[in-house]
Amino acid sequence: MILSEADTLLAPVTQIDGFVLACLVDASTGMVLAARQGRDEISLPTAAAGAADIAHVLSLLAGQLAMNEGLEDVMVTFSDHFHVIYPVSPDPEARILLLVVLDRARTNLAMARREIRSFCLNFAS
Amino acid sequence: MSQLPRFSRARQLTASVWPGKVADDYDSLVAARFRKLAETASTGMLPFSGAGDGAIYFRDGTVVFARSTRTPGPSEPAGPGPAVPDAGPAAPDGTQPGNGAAGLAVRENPYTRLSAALAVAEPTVDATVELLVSESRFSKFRSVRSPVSESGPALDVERLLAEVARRRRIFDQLSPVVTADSPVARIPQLSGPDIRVSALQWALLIRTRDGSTPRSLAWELGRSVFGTTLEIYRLLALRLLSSAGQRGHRNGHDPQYGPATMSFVRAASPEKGGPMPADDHATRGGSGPEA
Repeated sequence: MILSEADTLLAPVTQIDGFVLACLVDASTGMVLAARQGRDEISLPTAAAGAADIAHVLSLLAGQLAMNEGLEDVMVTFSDHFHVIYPVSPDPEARILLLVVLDRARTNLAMARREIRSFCLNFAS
Repeated sequence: MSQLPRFSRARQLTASVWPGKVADDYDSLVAARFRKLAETASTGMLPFSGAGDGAIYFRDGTVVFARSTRTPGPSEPAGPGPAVPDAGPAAPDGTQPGNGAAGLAVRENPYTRLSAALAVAEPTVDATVELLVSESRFSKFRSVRSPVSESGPALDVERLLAEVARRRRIFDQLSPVVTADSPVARIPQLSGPDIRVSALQWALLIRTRDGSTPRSLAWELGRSVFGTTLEIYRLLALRLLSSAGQRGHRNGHDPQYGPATMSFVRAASPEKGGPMPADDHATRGGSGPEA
């Protein structure tokens, strides 16, 4: 949303098999910072908001459980889609999240997870 | 001569200009003004005055910066990234904004560039929300040079309006529990044996004293009022803060702070009849068959 170079930022993620959409979300405010959408089957604002809500609930959980560990990723499996949420911030208190929605029938989840992880490492290094 | 009151007749006459909208609707007037500036690729400043003073700066029809006297401005970046204007207006009590997200920008990579852009975009959206929520009057558009560098973030008007609407819906959700101007107080006894908070939450906790509000804390930390209000809500949910004088307390019941009180998903899905958020945030691309 806010970066003119958003297209190129997320370009590597669009090459993942089964790519539906990807966006970078500010977890603290829920604002979409950059996005790319391959197919229209899912509402991008709603999917991004869902990722921010999940991060919000997990922060409450981590606070209440006094967990001394950072969030690595979240994978949500629907009947037709995977939603993969990954913090891209180098600091443990992740502020910027990457959400990637994939078509379950066309995705190898292990490979996709590896590619997303690699993207996030390159993004912040 | 028509028997209708003059005001109703004026509404009827202007109804075709904004179908489905009331002619004197402030939001419609602002949106129409913004869209006009976008269509004409205008560069300059739209000043606001009234309940909240400030201005919104346009460059080639996009919004590049906004300031309000009721929200902190951007902080100076510590490294590469878009230049930001002066540290912003002082708070009503003279407090200067502290270090915000811009302090993260040290080494050039996509993350630091995004953080630097966010360090300008977040206060811009925050100030715009404040100006529009307070229904400040806008006056004549002036041609002035943009206060931010060419490389700074540029926000599309439609996307900015959608984000402002989304934030207003979240403020509405939070209003029974906390608002930007609700006094909050620390709870001396922890409800659980152990608890974990983020660095930002800790910064808020140690600064909370009698009379603190999310807005005053936002000024102290140099962060957005919207983001700080959300973080205060999370501290209320963790029962580390209490919000005095809220509706629940007045009725003799504890207010409900559950995760369901505030939902980004609900804010992204407005009720029937309301304005829909822009659904075309994304750039088309990728490996999908329709791409």
